[in-house]
Amino acid sequence: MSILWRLHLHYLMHRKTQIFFMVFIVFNIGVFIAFSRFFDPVFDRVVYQDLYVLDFFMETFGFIKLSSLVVVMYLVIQLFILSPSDIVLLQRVHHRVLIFSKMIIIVFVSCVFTGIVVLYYGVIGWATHGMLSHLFTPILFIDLTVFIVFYSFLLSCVALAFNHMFAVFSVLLGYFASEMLIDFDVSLEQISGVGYFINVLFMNIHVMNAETIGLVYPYRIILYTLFVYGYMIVMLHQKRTF
Amino acid sequence: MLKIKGFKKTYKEAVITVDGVDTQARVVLLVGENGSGKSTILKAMAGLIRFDGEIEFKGSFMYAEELINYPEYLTARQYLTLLRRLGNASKIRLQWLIDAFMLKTHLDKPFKALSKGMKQKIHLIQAMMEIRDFYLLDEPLSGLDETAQQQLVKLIAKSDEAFVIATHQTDVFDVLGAKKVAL
Repeated sequence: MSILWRLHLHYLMHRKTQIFFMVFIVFNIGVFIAFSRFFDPVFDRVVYQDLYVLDFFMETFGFIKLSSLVVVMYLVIQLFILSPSDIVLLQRVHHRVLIFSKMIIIVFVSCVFTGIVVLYYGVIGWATHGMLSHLFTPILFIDLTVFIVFYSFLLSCVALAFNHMFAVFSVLLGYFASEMLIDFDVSLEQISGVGYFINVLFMNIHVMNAETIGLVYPYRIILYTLFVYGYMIVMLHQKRTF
Repeated sequence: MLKIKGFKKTYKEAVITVDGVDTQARVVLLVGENGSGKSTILKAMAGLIRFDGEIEFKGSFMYAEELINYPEYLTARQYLTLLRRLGNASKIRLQWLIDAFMLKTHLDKPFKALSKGMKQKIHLIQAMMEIRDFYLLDEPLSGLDETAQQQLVKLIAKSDEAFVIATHQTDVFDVLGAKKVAL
């Protein structure tokens, strides 16, 4: 089996895979540099803009995570392709042994790759902390999935993609919720409070759960989030007292 | 030894049909123009594609495809040793093939440093180092110089096993008295 692993590893890291990794690294470094240089939100903007800025950041990093998903999916696809080099091996070992050994090496390479990405972008903190803080919420499913992912690349990818879609959905949900409340004679301030509540509630998957987020995002993003939370609490309090 | 009846393989843009092949020859050459189905027949014999009709031949086989990716950072020696261990092939036979193809001086070079001809020799060696009843070789002369081509012909002549070869260069194999099957 060790011979097969060695051969699979060599075959897997052929030129196409190297190009794939290279494009991923260059692209993500480009995105990171572009954002850290050109994206500089100021503090005195209105809260809605802060939320927009926050969302914009989340979308970008979500995109980076999704691009890593593409690389991992590429590796997974290799499992289902019987290349000429596989045919050389297939004539020496049983089909099941070939597929099993190939699967192990693909999982290994994918875990190493996602491990690096996850460590770099602080998803570990996001996952583990999320596990503890959302034990009794529906978010548990996602957190649990992401937690498992660290050990299982496929689940990781599904969770990341799911989470990303969920975050986008939450923004839309907040928007529509705010729109509907107008019909019930709710004031604009209260609408924004409810809107933020829904948005931030879901967005904390991305932001507030990440204990390592300070290493990845600028600290001001955390401050913005806390500010939005504070604003939301104030608005809800106002609504209750009215 | 080799029978093909009502063979039909449909691709998106072409249909390959072969019928009435029945030969007892030890060396069979599949000849024909590009797209005539030489490689398809070999793939069908190796069980790598689905097809209609029947192909009959008895015994174990080793199939050597024409184009293959090599692990670029492995040396030829490492690659052949790994495959030999994987298939429990004989060291003596491997050494005999290496000597026959005069590849000894290039064994410690990584694949990325080897020419197409060298890679082709290694590909043929890996296919022939295990003893099988049939060797299915797809364009084995591709990239080989004249000397290497003659070495291959000599090896086939010395062997007891059967060969089915898809090739454009039939004249090289004339000395073997090979049966030509036109597709």
